[in-house]
Amino acid sequence: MSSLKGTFDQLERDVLAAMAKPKKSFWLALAVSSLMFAVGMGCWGWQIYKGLGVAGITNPVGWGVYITDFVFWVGIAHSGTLISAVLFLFRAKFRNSFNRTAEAMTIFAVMTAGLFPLIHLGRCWLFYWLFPYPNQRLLWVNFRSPLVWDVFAVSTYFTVSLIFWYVGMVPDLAIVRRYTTGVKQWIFRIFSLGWRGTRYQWEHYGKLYMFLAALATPLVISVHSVVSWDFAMSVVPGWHTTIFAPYFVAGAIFSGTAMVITLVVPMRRIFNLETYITVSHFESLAKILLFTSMIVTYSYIVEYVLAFYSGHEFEIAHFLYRSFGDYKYLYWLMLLCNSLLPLTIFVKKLRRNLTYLFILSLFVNVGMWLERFVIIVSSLAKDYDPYAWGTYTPTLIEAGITLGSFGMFFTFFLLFTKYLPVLSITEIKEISE
Amino acid sequence: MSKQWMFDEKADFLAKLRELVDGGVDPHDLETMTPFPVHEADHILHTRTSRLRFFTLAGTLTGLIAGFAFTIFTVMDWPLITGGKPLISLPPFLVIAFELTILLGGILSFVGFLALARLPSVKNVLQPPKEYGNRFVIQQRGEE
Amino acid sequence: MQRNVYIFGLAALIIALGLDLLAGDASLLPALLFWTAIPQGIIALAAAADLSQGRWIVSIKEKLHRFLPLLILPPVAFLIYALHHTHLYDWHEHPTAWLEPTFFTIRNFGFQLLTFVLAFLYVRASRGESPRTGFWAVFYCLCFVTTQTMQGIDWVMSFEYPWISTLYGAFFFIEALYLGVATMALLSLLLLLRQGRQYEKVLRDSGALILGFALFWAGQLYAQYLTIWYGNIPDEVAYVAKRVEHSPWTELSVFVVLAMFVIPFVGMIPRRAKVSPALVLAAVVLIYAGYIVEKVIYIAPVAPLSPLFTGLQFIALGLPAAYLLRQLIQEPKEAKTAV
Repeated sequence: MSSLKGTFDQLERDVLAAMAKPKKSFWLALAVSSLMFAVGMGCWGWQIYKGLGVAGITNPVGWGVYITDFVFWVGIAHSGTLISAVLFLFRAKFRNSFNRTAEAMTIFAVMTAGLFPLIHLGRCWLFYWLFPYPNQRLLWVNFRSPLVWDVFAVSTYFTVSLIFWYVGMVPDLAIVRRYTTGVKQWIFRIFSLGWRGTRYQWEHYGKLYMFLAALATPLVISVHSVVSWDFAMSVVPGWHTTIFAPYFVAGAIFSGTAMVITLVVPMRRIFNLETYITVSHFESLAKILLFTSMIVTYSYIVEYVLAFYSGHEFEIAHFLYRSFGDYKYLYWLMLLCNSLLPLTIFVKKLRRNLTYLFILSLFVNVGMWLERFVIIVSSLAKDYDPYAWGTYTPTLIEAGITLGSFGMFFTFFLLFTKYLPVLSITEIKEISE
Repeated sequence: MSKQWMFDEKADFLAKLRELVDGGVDPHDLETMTPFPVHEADHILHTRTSRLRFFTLAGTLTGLIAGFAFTIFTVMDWPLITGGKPLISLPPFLVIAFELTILLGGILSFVGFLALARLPSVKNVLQPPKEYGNRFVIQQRGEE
Repeated sequence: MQRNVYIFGLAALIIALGLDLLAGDASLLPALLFWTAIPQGIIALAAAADLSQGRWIVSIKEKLHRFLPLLILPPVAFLIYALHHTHLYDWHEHPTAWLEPTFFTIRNFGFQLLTFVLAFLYVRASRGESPRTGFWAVFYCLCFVTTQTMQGIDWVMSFEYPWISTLYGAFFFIEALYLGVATMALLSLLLLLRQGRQYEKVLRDSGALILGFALFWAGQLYAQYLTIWYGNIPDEVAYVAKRVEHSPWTELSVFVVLAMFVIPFVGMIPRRAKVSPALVLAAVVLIYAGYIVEKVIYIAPVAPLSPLFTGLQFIALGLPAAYLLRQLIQEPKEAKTAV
């Protein structure tokens, strides 16, 4: 056995190796994702130039791919907070392997999500009208509107997640400071705030981390509840239902956990982090995936069954439309991805097979995107009045912007893996002694 | 005169710390630097529990009150009924109040942490402190 | 000793039957819901801890498993209720495919029985540290969720048929877990007072869980309230209006929110409160009272319910649980050193 110091030195070298000169594969990945990002921005530019008509959204389906993307990306963010805050409170040790990447994912996903309301706005340069500020017209925002709740929920979420992520990183930045020189060192010197690791610093730090975790836990539940209320507050069949809040929260964590698996499986292989992120850690993530998948399935069943139980004709018509109408293939594909495929995690061999988990996580990502699309579009396409029915097909511009959002997310994530420690070195030290 | 000890192992570090405190050294004169929080050292040195909770409490309460006060103020400032809802609709205002509770709670906790831990330390940023790597360090302030 | 629990259980059932015949109203239902939620919630907590390999529960898990015999009570007590009282429901006159007295009785009895059987299999596996523990724990949890959902939807929500709230069923199993956590806090509190400090950690964790569940419970209640309030559909709002706009329901509703959310939540925030016997006891009692009153608020505006018999039934069905609790805290200490 080497000394504790020896183990720690090795750990630091292994983790920080990712920040050294990257391999070709990194540049290739970065090139592809920034190209996607550029395509998305180009599409948005075109939309701003030509007007919102280039998107397929129109009456009666006024919410389409953009709102789907918004909900999808906010959802992706959620498992970051779950892993970093909720599992911290439950003292689950496997969180240390994922919390840094998951939190980074939260930040980037919220940033990506935050763009979509602006894209959807049309005149996006007037976005600041959403904020309550004193103005000449003496008007205030309508605090009874769920869309304003969104502004508050998402910006609070972004701020608190950013603080949480940064705070968790300060001791690690101080480590990087030790390994760098010149301008780079200056940057890390500034961002590590002159951290030294004295006992009072650790004491305050520990308390701060716990309080932030305790604040972030109800926050994460509230954020997706608020997102779900964008739908549930309206009187539209398929939307106006009380289970939406917990159902969306579970779905968010479900999709976010899938995204963590999607990102960390390749990252672990590229940066040789097998010692620190073990298969058992992935197994625990897979269990969260299974658990949330079952909550989502429970919600699907309850929604459907209670529509028939109540005998409410519009609800029944809606759920029949959802499963046998214009969007039926998407609906059944969604059920396959979200409810059926995750059940295979019950098989121990499969949940310990990383290639399988990776592929499964891709299916879950697709499934959860489809879930939002199906909920949003099918409810709007056919509500009460047959005269106002219609269908919706996304245009290429909408597809391009969606592609761009993935590009943006992956670009940021790749830059993160290059410039910041991808594992929480300090916390791994803490549990490894 | 200040003295300094460095250890590669946590156990040795704790043993020395205990020896010093048992030997009558005032824990206030001892400073430790560790690669991760060592709670046993806090017990030995009777480290004060952080007062950060007061910052958090102040932040959350301010947020809660401000959330309700602000939303109610705005609807009274320009009374405009929307959606057939009462002007002062507490159920939706609770959402805003809740978010502000968390937001200010989080921000004030962070600010409180910086204040209590004396960060950012300009001195240590301009002139990096001596790095001890992954060693466990005890410093005894000299008795003037 | 274990046998005495069954004797108390039998006595409880006979008394409940007698009281039920005397009262002739729905007064068995709140007590039945309560005494179903507690053992089911407790076993579900133990199963969840087994599934997530939670170590915090280890010192008390064996005692949680001992609540198993209490799960025999609900199926039988439900039969007493269902055989007498389906006429209290409006749908009795106009049955639908789902809400129909015979099917109602059979499916709910079946789920209650299945919950007991799966709980039995799970507890046996967990006690024997069998590799099948996880397997049975999963099935128990699935069955627990379904059973509690059915209790919510069938036993209570259908009083107001065709009114629906899709969260109603989930709310019941969340509450069952909440009651389970409260009972765990009570148990660890009594053990702490009787047997010493090794239970302090469980008590602290239980206190923290009460804090969490209080907030979560409030969130789920609010999610239902807000959706209904905002939608403002006459049929839907009538349900809420009936229960919050007239005395005494207004006051009782406020009491429920205070007892199940505000007081336990605020009370459990300070670090020391989580191990303070007086505060934890107060929180647990309030949560229990809040649960019962909440159910009364759901039922009483639409079905006859005498307060006296509701209370008596609560005590009657609680006999075996009270006996069990006394047993658990008086046991010699050797049981937990084995862990």
